[in-house]
Amino acid sequence: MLDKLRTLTISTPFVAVLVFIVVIELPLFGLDLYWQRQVMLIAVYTLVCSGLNLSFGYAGELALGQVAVFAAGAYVAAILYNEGYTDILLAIGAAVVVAAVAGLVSGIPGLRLSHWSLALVSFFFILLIPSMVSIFHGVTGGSAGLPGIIGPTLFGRVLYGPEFFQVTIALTFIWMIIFRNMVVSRFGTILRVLSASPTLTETLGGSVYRLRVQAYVIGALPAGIAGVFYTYMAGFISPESFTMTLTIALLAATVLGGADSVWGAPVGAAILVLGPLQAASFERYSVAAYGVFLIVVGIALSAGLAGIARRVITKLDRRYLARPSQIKSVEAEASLAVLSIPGQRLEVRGVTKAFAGLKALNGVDLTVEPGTITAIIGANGAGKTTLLNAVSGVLHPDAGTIQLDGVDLVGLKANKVARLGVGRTFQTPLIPKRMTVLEVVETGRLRHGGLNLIAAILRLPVHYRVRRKDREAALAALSFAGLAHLAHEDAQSLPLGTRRLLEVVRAVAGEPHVLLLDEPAAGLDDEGLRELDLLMRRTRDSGGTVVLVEHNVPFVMETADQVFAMELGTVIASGPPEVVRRDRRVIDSYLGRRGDPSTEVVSTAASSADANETGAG
Amino acid sequence: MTVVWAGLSVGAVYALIAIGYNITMTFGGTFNFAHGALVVLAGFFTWFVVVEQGMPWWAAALSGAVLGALVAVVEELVAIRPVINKDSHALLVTTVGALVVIEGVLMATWGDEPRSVPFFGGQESFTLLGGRISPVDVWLIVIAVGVGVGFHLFARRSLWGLAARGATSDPDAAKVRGINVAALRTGSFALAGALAGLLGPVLVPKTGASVGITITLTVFGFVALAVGGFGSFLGSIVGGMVIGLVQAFGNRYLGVEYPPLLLFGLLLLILLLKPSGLFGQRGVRTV
Repeated sequence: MLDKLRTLTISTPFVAVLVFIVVIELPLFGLDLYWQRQVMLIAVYTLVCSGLNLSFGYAGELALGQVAVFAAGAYVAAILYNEGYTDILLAIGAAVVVAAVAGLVSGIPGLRLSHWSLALVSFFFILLIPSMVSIFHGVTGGSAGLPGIIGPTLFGRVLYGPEFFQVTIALTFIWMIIFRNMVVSRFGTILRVLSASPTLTETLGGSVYRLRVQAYVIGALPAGIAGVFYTYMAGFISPESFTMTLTIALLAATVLGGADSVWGAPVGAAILVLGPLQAASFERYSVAAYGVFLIVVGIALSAGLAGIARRVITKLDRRYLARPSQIKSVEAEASLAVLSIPGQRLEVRGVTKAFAGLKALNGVDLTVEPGTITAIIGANGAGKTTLLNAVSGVLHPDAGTIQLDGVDLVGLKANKVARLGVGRTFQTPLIPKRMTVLEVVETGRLRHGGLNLIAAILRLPVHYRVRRKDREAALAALSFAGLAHLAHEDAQSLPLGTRRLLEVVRAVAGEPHVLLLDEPAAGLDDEGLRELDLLMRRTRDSGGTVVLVEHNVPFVMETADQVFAMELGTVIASGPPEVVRRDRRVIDSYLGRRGDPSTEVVSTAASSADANETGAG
Repeated sequence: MTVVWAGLSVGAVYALIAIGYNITMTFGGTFNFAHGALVVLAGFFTWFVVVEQGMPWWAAALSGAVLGALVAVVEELVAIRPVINKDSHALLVTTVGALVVIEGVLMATWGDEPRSVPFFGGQESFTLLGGRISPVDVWLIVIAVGVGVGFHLFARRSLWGLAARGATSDPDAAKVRGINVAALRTGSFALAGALAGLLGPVLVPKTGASVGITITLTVFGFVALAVGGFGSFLGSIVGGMVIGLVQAFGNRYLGVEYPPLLLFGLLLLILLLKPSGLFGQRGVRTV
């Protein structure tokens, strides 16, 4: 019973539905017109803020032009009304189209460079408001504004007072559910990955540029809708309603509520409408106060009120409701699923790559057969990581070919390479914040199938099917490595070695055709090494192709079927471990002149672990 | 020709703002969103010193330079240094916050009414090369070109410029070689702030002092920067002049409401077709 209640309150928007039902009935309980307007204003700002949540909070793009999109929506509604089209749904549709166009026009060029250019391109929108209003003064009323826009219709029925209130609240709520469904889906997950690391996003199969454009454009839509409600609520609009100060106030409300949360938006909006900054005595300093507030929040990088709420809930949850039974059921599910990892042949021919004249790769040739574990060893600077980066598309070689099962990978973007089936890990584990171990592993699945945004919004069966499949594969990969018991732990707080292992698990969950591991054993204790060994063998035994770059020579010699030794950007020896171990050049350049690898290895492995601790890679 | 002079002089204002952006970018590796606000601050301060206090223009210039440097350094220490190593997410919010704080303080202190300050070099316009031009316009154009060329040479020739170029292209490598990246950044903010303050008495007769122009200066200065190329001081001059000419000719032949649209289109085109700008180096794409 308690368990059910817990799932209901935490994993579903149940509480929000309750609040909505209460709010929409408020006029029946005698809420007067003034307060109805205040609540509607909260709804309007909620829409604008929720858009900022998506573009800024989740995708990390500062859409300073949100108010201009809001203004565009407002003018669209007003102009349609004056032309005799009073239907509110029609106005919303038109506003959404205008918002999408505005988002695309500014987002496609603005997102090509870094965050700043989008912030400024969208900021420019605010400057365009007075221009547009005066160019089209025939329909916009110029700076005098448009009065008398009262009583929209819905399917031919005029909406007055409480009815308009209820429609506004209901439609706002529908958007919030849509927004919530988008965020609680693959789309929201990959946006969280994106804000943690663009490189990781690409290697998981997500196009950073496309995701940024998507999040930014979708974030503009609710602002357009908000404009429609605002027009009908105020009954009058003029360019003066849409200022830079409003932009800043809404941004402050967004970060106060919690920029990367769904339900932070209404809270922030409510504080903006009802809070202390509205007091007349405070007005003079309000702009300065918003600015100070933005700096403070930025420095503390707090997750706003939503972050505080999340911490409280987690604490209560851990204390009173945590159930060991849940973890058991996780293990039971895991044993049912089986991963299929169809390995493919990786061929690298004559690959070169120079950095500022220095040849990091100088004609590398190697072939990796499916169903094997292949290790690449060599001193620091031999070009091992550069080679992995070239294969995974993170950087592009100057010459040479790289083929996976006959398909050319050179020149493809990292996300394409990932989608073709190259999975990889990093020297410094990239684990996004505030994700459980299970969620992190599930992100490894993103390369299979699209984001299915529509299915996620409507919660179609396909959405649940994909989610179930993701979960099963993730659990299977976790139990491959013996980590299933950690499934519900916070991934970032795990020790370094476990996080490194978790990266491998995440890549395995994606069922890659070739798995590239960048120094996975560094910093692992004996148990960790055993788990890693187990995971790699199981991956190989299910047909997978594993390539690892590693300094821990005893580990390599024991696990690998084939070893390539690199020096100064070329392969100097290759073959089964025992052959490479005895190779004269390998001993000279890497293993040590005494010819006894076991003594040398300890220091090499230790030093590479140190290097990783300081954040190399 | 009058239109050309008008364009070049207003362009000089944008060029000087783009140069300000470039100073913190080339010497400090950081984009200062609040630079336009610093220019507005300098304008208000000039009005306060010259009109309210009745002091000479050079007093406003010198004390303005000190004030500008001070405010910029405080901005760097409070809003940038604590977050520079976190994700750019935070930096985005804090520098926007800095702009808003400066704007908010100006509004609370001097209100949102625009103020005007007469130019110390005379108000009488005269004919030059067949067009009417006023003394302040001549000063602005000469100063913008001089400052831009000066910084161009300074960035190329000076030790500071060399160290800074190393620091912005590879901060970690620079640190290893004993370059104090943080001090360079603070210094660059001080320099940009001082420049904004110093030029207050020349800029404010042209722009007027008002909080309302902050966003215009911020955005058009950025367009000048984008057109000229990020990291190029000569590009900033050209970018600023191009913006100014588009604005002046747009005003003259289409009407005052069109230039923002034209410039918006220009910005989108540049970002789409030549993101490094006309004179930009490919390396400096931190913006």
